[in-house]
Order: sequence, then C-alpha cells, then structure tokens
Amino acid sequence: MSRREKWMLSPYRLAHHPLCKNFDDHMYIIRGHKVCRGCINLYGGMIAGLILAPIMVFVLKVTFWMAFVATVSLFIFTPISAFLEPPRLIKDICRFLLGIAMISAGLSIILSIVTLAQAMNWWAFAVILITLFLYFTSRAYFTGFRNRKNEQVCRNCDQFYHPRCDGMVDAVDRAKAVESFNKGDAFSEQ
Amino acid sequence: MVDYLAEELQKMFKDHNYTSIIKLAHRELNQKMSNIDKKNYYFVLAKAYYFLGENKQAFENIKEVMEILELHQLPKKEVFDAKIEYAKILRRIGEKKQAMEIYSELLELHESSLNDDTRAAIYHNLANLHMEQGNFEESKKLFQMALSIDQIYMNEEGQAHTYSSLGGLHFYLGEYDEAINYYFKSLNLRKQTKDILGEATVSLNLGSIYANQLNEELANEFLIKAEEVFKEINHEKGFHSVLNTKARLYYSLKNFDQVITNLEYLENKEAVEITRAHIPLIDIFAEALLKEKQVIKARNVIKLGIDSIHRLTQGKFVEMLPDYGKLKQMLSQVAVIQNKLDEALEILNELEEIGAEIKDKRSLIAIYHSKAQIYLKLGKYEQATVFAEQGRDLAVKYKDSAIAEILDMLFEIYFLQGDFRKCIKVLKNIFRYVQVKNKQRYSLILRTFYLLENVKLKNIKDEFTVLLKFSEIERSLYILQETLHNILNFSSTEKKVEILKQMSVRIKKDTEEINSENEDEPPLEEVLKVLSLDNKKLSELSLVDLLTLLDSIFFSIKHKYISKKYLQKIDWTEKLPLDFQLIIKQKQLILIELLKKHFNPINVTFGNQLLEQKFNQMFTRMSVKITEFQDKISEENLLILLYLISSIAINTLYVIYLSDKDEAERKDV
Repeated sequence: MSRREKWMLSPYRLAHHPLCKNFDDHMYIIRGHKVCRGCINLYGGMIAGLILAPIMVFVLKVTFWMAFVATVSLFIFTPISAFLEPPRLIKDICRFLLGIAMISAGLSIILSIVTLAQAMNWWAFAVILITLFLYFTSRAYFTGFRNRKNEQVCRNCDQFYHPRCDGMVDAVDRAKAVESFNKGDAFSEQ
Repeated sequence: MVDYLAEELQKMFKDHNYTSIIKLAHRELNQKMSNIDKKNYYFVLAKAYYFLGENKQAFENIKEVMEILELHQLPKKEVFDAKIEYAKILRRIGEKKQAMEIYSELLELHESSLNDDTRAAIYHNLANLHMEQGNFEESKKLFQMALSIDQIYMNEEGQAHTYSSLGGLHFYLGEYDEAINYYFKSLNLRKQTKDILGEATVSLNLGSIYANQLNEELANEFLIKAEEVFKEINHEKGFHSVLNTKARLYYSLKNFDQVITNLEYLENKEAVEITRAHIPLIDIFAEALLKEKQVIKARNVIKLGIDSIHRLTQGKFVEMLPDYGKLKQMLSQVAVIQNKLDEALEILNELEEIGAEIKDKRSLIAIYHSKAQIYLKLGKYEQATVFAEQGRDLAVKYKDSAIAEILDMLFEIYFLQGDFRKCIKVLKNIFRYVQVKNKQRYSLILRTFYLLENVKLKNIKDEFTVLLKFSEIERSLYILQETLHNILNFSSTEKKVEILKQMSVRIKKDTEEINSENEDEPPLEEVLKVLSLDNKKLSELSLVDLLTLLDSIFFSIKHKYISKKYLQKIDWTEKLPLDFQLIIKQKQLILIELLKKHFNPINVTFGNQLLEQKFNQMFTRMSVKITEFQDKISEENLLILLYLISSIAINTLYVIYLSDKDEAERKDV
C-alpha cells in the first residue's frame, strides 16, 4: 500500500478520534484541521521534559533515584485523571505532566545504566526494571482503558450503525474514493 | 477515403452509432483499396471499438494503423492523431509506461508542430495517466494547462472532457463536493455539444459519487439516465457499469434483492469471460443470493467465481486470496444450509490452514465462528465451545464486529450446557457491545438469568428444550414463564418459600443496583406525575421509551402494585401505607393508559394469533394462580411473585412490540 493510500485510508488522521461533536473536547482545531488534544499536550510535555533534562543532569546533578521519584510523582496524575474524570483543563495538565514523566523515565533509565556501569549498584538495576514495567503495563492498560471509554461513546450514539456517521463520514468517503480509484472507472479521455 | 463516406462516418460518430461504424468499416476493408484508405478505416475501427470499451479489438486495429504509418509519409496532423489514439488504447490495456513515452515524445520532439487542440489533448491524457498512478498534484497541473488552452480557443468539447477528469480527480481524493461541481460543469457543456455518450459517462460518475454517499435517490436519478443512453447506443460496457454501480449501492444499503436483480447478467457469462474486475461483483452477488436464501444459485455463482480465480491466477489463487477466501467461506455456508456439514468442515479446515499461514486474524475469526456454528449444529458442544472461545478472543483483540454474534453463540452453547453462571458472564459482555436500544432488552434477559442462577433452577434445564433460539427474543419470555410456572406449581411449600426467600434477596440487590444506576435521571415518581397529567406527552413517547418506562414501573412497584385491568380482584393500593398510595395510583393510571393505547391484545396481535393466544393464556393463568395464592402465602412472598409477573408482562410486551415491528417492516418491504 502506498503512503498516499495509507493516508487516504487513515480513519481519523491527526485527530485520533471521530470528527463529530461527541469528541469535540478531545480535539484542538489548528488552521482548520482537527488535531488530537491529548497528543498535543503529551508532546508539549515531552518537549518541556527534553528542555529540562540537561538542566537536571548537568546543573542540578540529579541521581537515578531522583529521576525515578520524579517519574513516579509526575506519572501518578495519569491514573487520577483517567479514573476521576476531572474537568478538561485538569486532564490537559495531566497529559502534559505525563509527557514530562516519559522523558523523566528515559532519563532515570539512562542514569541507572551509567550508575550500573560505574559501580554494580543493584538498586539501579531494579529502577530500570521497575521503570520499564511501569511504562509498558501502564501504556497497555491506559490505552485500552481510553479506547473502551471512547468506544462506549460511539456505541451509545444513535448513529452507531449508520455507515456514514458524522464522525466517520470523511474517512468513509476517502475509503470509498480509494476503492473507486482502484476500480478506475471515473476516467475521461480526450 | 471517399468524401461521402467520411461524412457519413462523421455523422455516425456524432450519433454514437458505433456498431454501424464497425460494420461499415469492415465491409469497406474487404474491398480493394490503397494503404492510406486502409489506414483510415483501421483508425475508424480503433476509435469505434475504443468508445465501446472493447480494448482488445481497438488495439488490434490501431496496430494496423501504426504499421501503415511506418511505411508512408503522411501529414503530421494525421500522424499525431494516430499516435494519440494509440497511446489512449495503450493506457486502456495497461501499457501505461509506453503511453506516457508517446505523449512525452510528442511534446518534446514536435511541440512546435503541434496545434493547440492537440497539445491540450496530450496534456489532458498525460494528466489522466498521472492521476491513474496517484500523482494527483502533477495531474491537476496538467489538467489546468489543458483547460486554459481549451478555454482560450473556446473548445467546449475539450473543456467538457477536462472538467470530467477534474471531477474524477477530486472523486478519487474523496472530495465529493468539488467533484460534483466539476461533473456538473462538464454535464452542462456536454448537453450543449450534444455529446450523449459523454453525458451518460458523466451521469454514471455522478451516480457513483452519490452511491458512495449512499444517497439512493440522487444516485438512481443519474444512473437511470446513464443506463438509458448506454442501452440506446448499445454500449454494453457502460450499461454493465451502471448495473455494477447500482448493485454496489444496494449492497451497501443491504437491499440484497436489488443486488441480485442488477447482477443477474453475471450468471449468463461463461467462465472464460470473467475478468478480475468481475470477481468482487461475484462476491457480493453470491452474498446477496445467500442472504435471500437462493442457495442453489449461490452455489453456482460461487463455483463460477472460484473456477475463474483458478483460471485467472493459473492456479496461484494466493494472488487473489481475499476473494478466494470469501467465496470459499460462502461455499461453506451454502454447505451448512444444504446440511452437507462434512463438506463445510473440509472447506473451513482448508481456510484455517491458509489463514494461519498468512496470519490473517480477521479471516480466522470468521472461520472459528463458522466452525463453532457447525459443531453446535452437530451437538458437539465441547468443540463448539473451543472454536467459539478462540473466535471470541481474537475478535476482542482485533475489535472485530463479529464479537456480538460470537458472544451470542457462546451464550447459546453455555445455555445448552446448563452453565448459567457463564451465561451471565457472556450476557454482561454482550451488554458492552450492544447499542443503547438493545441494552434494555439485554438487561431484562440478564436479570432473568440472575434469577435463574440464584434460585439454582438448573434442574429445570430439560424443560427448556423447546425454547427458541436466543436470537429470537421470545426465549427470555419462555424462561420467565417457565420459572413462574415452576414456582406456582411446586408441590412442596417449603421449597416454594425457600425460592421466594432467595428471590427476595436478589430483588433487593437489583433494586439497589437500579437505583444507583439512575442517579442522574429524575425520580420515576416525577416522570410519572408529568405523564399522568399530560396525555399528549404520553402519546408522543416512542414505543421503546414506553416499554422502558413500563419496565421501570413494574420494577419499582414490584412490592406494591399490579395492573387493575388484568388482575382486577387485587387492589394493592388499599394495603399500602398512605405515603405510597398516591404514587401507586398514578402508576396504575399510566399503566392502564399504556396498555389501552398500545397493548390491547386484540389490536396489537392482529395477524399474530400465536402471540395473542400466548398473551391471553399467560395472564389468565397468572390471574387464577395469584388469586389462589392470595390467602395462602405471606404478603411478602406474594409481592415477589408480582415481581416475576411484572417481568413476564414486560417481556411479553417487548415480544409483542418487536414481533409486530418485524411484521410491519416485512410488510413495508
């Protein structure tokens, strides 16, 4: 499948959610394009984390322990926001903090490896394992959790069985267009 | 070529009388003539075949033209025209690279000798080639260049073609509004230039867009126009394109009867005539036949498809695996319907091997589903469970839409095995995947199974052998009826009391759950008060809302209330504390209104005598039994019985409502 075809068939593109009013608060509109709000905040947090990381390492001289504690402290807001359903602004902040937490997790792994290389500190090894475990399990769990929640919104929608529902109409049209293109019957030659 | 003949041919081209052109050209070619004249007739033939979409013949004739061109020095205009025609036909037969080379060569080597008409045509056709390869930006640029030349020289025909192609370009980008805009511009120009073939082609494309948008009315409007013209000028390919587009539209709309009507022409095709483009149509044709239970026809069509795939791929069917798999799967379904279960299993085993080899999980889901169905039919529950559970796991993992159906089947298997605990688990899962309107139904069934599980009535399993399939919603009604029947007829009073006690606990728990679920909604009492005062509002409620309301009423009043209409001898309001009397009276009023309005058995069950009998029998039996009970058992137990009766009543109403709705829908169709 060509890149263009993949792009044509991509259901939500940068919005990552159906494009209907049910998901309006999950998106920012940037220059007329709907973009996933959660991702923007997450990537914003990651950028902030990348800026802070060298300061933490070279100026504040943090150890792998400090980075690990920072990771856990920043990460804790994610389950809170997922389960407590706070206002959208709080959720945005939590996503932003998750972005920083992800960079912090990377940092704690790097610092742990450096510590391990310098002296056989088994705590550093434990931090690596715990951080990786935390990253992969929470990612799998919360992705599934959010997917299920979003899926329920669709299932509870009157248009759920409508083949061209408001949220998917663009994607369905594009998919049909690809089908028509592959059939190639809309040509006219001079 | 003799002048009068050239004129006649031109007129025929204008009238789109291609069949006559072909006849005339062949007749003339049989006579002795110069090579130049021959070249002209071959050229005419190539063009006529091209317009009819018979590309093979078009190619043979244009090749003759090219060979003659090599031997003679002809005017440049004639050479360019022949080359453009040659490139157009090459594109049609898939030699796109060669076609592109011819256009590029014409533009590079002869640009100064090309007149504007020809240059515009080359830009246009080159743009088409780019479009076909997915280079949309390049294509758009070339179309705009062609269009501006045609606009300068007021070449309406050229503009019409380019507008069509720009329509096509936006069509392929999924930008339907812009595509429609361009197609309409083209359509107007084609009407002005009286280009009826062009009009039909644009109408077909507009029909295709509206078909993609599932706008049946507009799609049909344009497709019918196109169909008429194609029929009139004997354009078989165009005519079939219209039928195919219609069939695809009706397939999307699940109107399988119409799919069959439009694709019936495929049945008359010989296997050798089937091309790769026909295979997806055979897929939907066979599926439609299966849905309409035309099993023998479906088997023939599937066989035609499978044989054609073997022929087209020369035995390497892997090249067309999705179509091959789909057809084989349908063949297994046909075998199941014809009770040839061994054949079905053999096909599914073959598909399972292929699916596992290419790791096509979605196909495996469908295969496991079908296998489970067959084993269920054979009464081999263990194997059925294994495959259904495998299918379920994959469907959950890959979010396949078959999940609800698979869970439905698992429910049936567990039910037949008497494992109510698993039934409840499956029902809870189904609940997650069904839409709101079905949730009410499933919640009722779920509640029924809670009762079954809690009162440990597994021993009544054998009595359920007469139950209808789960998909027929009457099952829940039967279960409740049977449950009630068992309670009312237990010989031992101790046993009766024990069951009622357990139910009492369950009911309390259920009530708590229901109350906690509905925290956001206004209290039922308020809703009822509004409805009892406002008859109009009551009549505006949809039937499903009414039934849900009714269920809530029954559920919330299970301790204190029953309809006067059917159990007139019991007036529960007298026994109630004063605080409750008002609300109960309101509920009674609404209930009686509802029953009068929508569930008068005589009206509702019109044409559905079985249900009418069932309804009447049930209430008569309940009425008698409850009256008998009144003096013998405690009030608390009596109220629990009322709870059961209320469930039966509401389920009956659902059955009646849904059966009537189905009946009405069937009548509408």
